[in-house]
Amino acid sequence: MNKDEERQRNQSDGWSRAEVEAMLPAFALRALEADELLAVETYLRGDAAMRARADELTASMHGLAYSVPSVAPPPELSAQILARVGAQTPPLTAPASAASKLTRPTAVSATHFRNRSGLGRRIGIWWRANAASAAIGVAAAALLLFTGLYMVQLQGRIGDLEDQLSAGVQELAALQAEMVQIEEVNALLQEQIRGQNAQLASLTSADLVLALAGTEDAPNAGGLFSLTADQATLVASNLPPIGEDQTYELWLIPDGGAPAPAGLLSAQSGERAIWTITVPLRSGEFALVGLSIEPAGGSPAPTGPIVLLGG
Amino acid sequence: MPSSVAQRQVQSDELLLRAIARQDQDAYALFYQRHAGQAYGLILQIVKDRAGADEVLQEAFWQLWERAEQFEERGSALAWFFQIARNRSLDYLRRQKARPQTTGDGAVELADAAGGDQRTPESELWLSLRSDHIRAALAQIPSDQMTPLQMAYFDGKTQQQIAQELGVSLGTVKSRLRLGLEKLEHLLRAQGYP
Repeated sequence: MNKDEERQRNQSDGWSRAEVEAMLPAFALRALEADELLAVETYLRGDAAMRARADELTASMHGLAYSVPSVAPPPELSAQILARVGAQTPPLTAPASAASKLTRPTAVSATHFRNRSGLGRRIGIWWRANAASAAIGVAAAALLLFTGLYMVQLQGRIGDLEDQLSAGVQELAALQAEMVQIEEVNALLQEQIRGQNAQLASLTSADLVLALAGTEDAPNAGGLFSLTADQATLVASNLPPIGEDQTYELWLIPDGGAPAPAGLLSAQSGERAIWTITVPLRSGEFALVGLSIEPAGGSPAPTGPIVLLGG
Repeated sequence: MPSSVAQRQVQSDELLLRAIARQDQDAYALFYQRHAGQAYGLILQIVKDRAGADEVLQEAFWQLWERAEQFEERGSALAWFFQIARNRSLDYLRRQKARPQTTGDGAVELADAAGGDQRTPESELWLSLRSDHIRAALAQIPSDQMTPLQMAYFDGKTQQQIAQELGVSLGTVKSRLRLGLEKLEHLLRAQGYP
């Protein structure tokens, strides 16, 4: 026993070449137990001649397939199997009319057939007899394929357009919402402009305009008092805040006389406040204008701190 | 004459398989036309269930399409394909055994199934050339050798299982398998098949 045989023997549970050869029929049939199959397989990896012998037996074994009848697969099964690879040839069980849809044989098989006298003639006749309907079948299939592809393309195009339309609708809705906000802001600005125009008009057409200054109790405060007939407008800024139980009260002070209460002014948010009120005196009937902080409900005479004063 | 015809047929199958490896759909269709019927008969014999046979036939031909380039030229293309079909069938049987048993609605009577065979002229020619020769060879194998061969080939039984079922020794089964297969090989070669 040489070294190679000894090595293979070790890999094959100690079987000799002759023993493995005797097992080849059962190996080809896969009639060995799993461990035996593995051992023979392992042995054959190192013995090309024995592998070739196993292949020969395997090929012969498949002659057994012919010991059972040939059975035509169902037409729909054949169609599925051929369609899976895109083959156009009809199934084995197709009737003559359907069989006429056969595509031409490959160059390989056509040459092969031409080289056979009897077989080639028989198949050639069969092919020619079905050529016209085969062409129609191919054309119909091509038309169907083209139509199908075109429909797929159209579907894709419609899908794209629907996506674009949907995006456009969403964008339009966003723009409409933005426009509503802009209109609201615009209305507010217009209101402010109208207020400022009214103030400007009252100032330019007023009978009296007085600048008011903050006192020691409100050194940062300031204001402007205008009067047209009995309608007065007071614009004030940086007034000291007041409590819920307090109010601002406007005073018209005659030269040398007691301050006359001219109206209660509620607190306003922000640095600047604007009031328009009807006052009891007209221009020329007072010399000074003052604003004080009073208890809620006001006072007949100033009691709290005077925060604005001018004249 | 049978020998030369047979040689050309084997060559043609191999050419077809080479073309299939290049994804030639026509070659695939022609191979299907030639051999689907016998392959389906083989599969039905093993799985004994119409739905299962349909599944296995699809798997086998898909494997043929996907792995044609793995065919080694030294052997028979048809044997290579039948090996695929048989292996897939036995795999199917093993999967079925692993599943809960159901009623045999899909069971098929092979004789009935064979009655529906309709062949195109092309497939008829090929089958008449091949199957008649091989069946003639099979008929010459003694039944005591053919029975264990068929039990192994179609039922996937091991030598041990065959011996138990037939009530003979393991050595007898080994001997019958070897003699039967070698005789089949000799007869096929005499008919011109490798």
